[in-house]
Amino acid sequence: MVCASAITSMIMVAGAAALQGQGLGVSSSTTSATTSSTNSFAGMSALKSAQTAASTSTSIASSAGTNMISMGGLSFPGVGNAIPIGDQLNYFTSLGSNFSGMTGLVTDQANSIMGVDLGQFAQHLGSAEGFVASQNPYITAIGNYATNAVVDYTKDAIITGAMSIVGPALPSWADDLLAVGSIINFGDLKSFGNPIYLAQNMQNTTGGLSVLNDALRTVGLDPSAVGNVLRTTDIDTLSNMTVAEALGDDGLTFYSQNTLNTPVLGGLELAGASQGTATGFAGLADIGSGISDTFSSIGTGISNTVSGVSNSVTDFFTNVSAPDLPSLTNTDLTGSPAPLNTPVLGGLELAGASTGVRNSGTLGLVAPDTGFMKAIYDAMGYVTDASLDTVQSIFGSSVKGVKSMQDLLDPSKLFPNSYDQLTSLPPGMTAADFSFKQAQGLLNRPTVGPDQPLNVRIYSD
Amino acid sequence: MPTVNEKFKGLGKKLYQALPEDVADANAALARAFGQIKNIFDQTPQTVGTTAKKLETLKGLDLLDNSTAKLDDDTINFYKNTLGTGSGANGEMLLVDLLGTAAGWVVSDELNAETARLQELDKLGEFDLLQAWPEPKEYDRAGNGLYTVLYYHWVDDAYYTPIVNPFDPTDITPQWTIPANITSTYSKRGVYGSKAALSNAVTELVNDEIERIANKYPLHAAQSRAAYERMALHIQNEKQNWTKAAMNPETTIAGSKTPVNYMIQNLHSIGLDTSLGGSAWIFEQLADRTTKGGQAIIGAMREGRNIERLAAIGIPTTGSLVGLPKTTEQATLSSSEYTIQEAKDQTSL
Repeated sequence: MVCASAITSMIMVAGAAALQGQGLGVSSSTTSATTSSTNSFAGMSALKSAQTAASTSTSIASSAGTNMISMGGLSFPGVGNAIPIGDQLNYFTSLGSNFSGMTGLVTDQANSIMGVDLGQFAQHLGSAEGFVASQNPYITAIGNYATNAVVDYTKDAIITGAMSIVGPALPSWADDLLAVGSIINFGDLKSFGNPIYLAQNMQNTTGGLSVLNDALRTVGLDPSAVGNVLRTTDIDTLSNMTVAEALGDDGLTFYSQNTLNTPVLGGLELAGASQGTATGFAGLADIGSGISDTFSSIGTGISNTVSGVSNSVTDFFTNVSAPDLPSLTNTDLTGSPAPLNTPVLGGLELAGASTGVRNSGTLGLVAPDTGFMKAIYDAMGYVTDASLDTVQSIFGSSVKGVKSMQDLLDPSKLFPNSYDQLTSLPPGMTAADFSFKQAQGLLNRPTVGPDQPLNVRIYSD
Repeated sequence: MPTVNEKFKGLGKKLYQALPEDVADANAALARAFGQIKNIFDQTPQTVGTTAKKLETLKGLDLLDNSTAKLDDDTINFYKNTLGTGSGANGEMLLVDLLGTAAGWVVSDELNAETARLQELDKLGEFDLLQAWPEPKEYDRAGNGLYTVLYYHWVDDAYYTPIVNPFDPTDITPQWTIPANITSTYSKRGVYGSKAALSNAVTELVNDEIERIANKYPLHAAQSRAAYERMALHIQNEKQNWTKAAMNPETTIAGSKTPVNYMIQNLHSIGLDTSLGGSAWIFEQLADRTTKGGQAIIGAMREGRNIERLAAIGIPTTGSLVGLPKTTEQATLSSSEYTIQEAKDQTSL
């Protein structure tokens, strides 16, 4: 029984009747049907009277009793008002001992349900309701079982909300997870491991990429241009772009070619400046302001020989005024290629600039046709030591044993305690268009074929 | 550097341009792993990590097959075959599986259909041998039908022909005799030592006659068998379900009003159960529409459904009466307040 509802005039009228034993009774359809059956043909009434009389004087377990209520039971039971007796039907032991044929049985049964008063019926109703409500959840659940996606899980997975799928030793990877801070974002699982996403994540957290600036410049990317595209372009698109496509001319303040085109600052030829226009150099002042950092970084990655260059460069750009820039336009500043390892600034050789050449006034280590994602990843390789600590601070992480920001994209480094027990779904066992946000059944599991294995270890022994 | 399982080779292809392939594959695999956690998208590593540390597994419970969440066959079979015996499409238990006969569930339709079949055959005269009862009605009329003989036998004990010892009226030898002049029972004419024996002799003839009819009208007979088996099975199941539901009409307390009160006050809720064979249907069948009270029962259920429909769009219904479980009159309880003097008396100087 559920809780009582509002008392209304309708309830009051019903109550007045029921409390006087009125208003409810054996259905008229039941009584009408039994009466009609009894009167279906004249002899039926005589038979029913005989059956009733027999039931009072003999047991249905006796041969006479059995025979009286089973005439035609195997051939045409309606003619004999019979209880059918079949191989699987042994009603005589379960239907009671005092009835008269089928119609008598129906009447007795209906009367038993209704009881001698509505108090009895109400109790029967309560018992029946309780039984139905308690039994059906099992039955409906088993009915849904065959199509339920949970069958592809282990029982551990079910009781742990699928967390044991990630790794059975829950405390182990939980500790690791607590240490990663916001390096990973469950809201964008498909971007796991994507360095562009990590950079964007940092930018979103701090409002900029300052801790990455040096590293970006080191590989030839303009931090402000990178920041712009991270704000305006989605990651999927960026992931498929080259540096040139992603940053355009403005962003290519720093890009490189395969050879060092006689980079010159302060009287030196500016390789690639042939493409430069006033627009192309619009950011020179900014470049100038940041160039000291750039070369400081280069110094860490290239050579100590650049020591002291920064000041010269800063001075150089400080002295470059916008009105002078048009004079550079259409000027072929490209000279004969020089070896990559001989970049020169202000007459100083930049030893160690081994993989890139500069363009638009400074140095870079990646070519314009380099993937933007790779360029970002490469830049992250230069984020080490104190800068890396800063990064971890930004992300609220405390991952141990990492040497550069690149390690923050390596699951084996992010999960040092648990990586060798992590498990996942192998490729090929899921729909081609795997969608993490496609919640199937109770959990986010994609469709798994019947013959496909459950989760397997991500890392081999 | 740890090696990524070969099964994941190529999974992180999108990252290959930048990351080492193993790292890329591991990232994609890890993303899939976390992606299996429901609503992971709304979580942070901190919330998941904190909770995951506290979660419990089935470690040590070796009788549970943890290789899969699939239920064992014995479990499935139990629910499907043993528990799921209700009339619902998937074996769900319906309220009529316990209370249906009173509401006419199964039995009304089947009996009515059978009545129609029997009437059809009656018009064809197929039951004459069974039901003949010529006027004037006497137990030994030659034209009496088999049912007529059974009627006289069981209702009037008309064929009781005891032998009384003429020297001792109390010495009675019971016996029953089928008169030889009754055509329908001629083959069973004679004396029987018990009432049951005579009855059995006649019912044997009845069975022969019904079998004749069944052979002549096999479709009618088959429909009759199916109908009566459905009714018998339903009633049998009801009785079995009563036991499961701890419902025993023979021992249910009579005369109690509390259950009636609760039942009536729940009519709104009862009316909300419009499921197949549910409480709304049953109460509609049981309600006596020829009385005001019976109509009010149906009306109250309709009212309950309307209350829910209106509430769904924020419209409350009017007309509810204030019904309190207790009187508003207050009892006089013993005083718990100290007087000044009582307070002084309690205070030491």
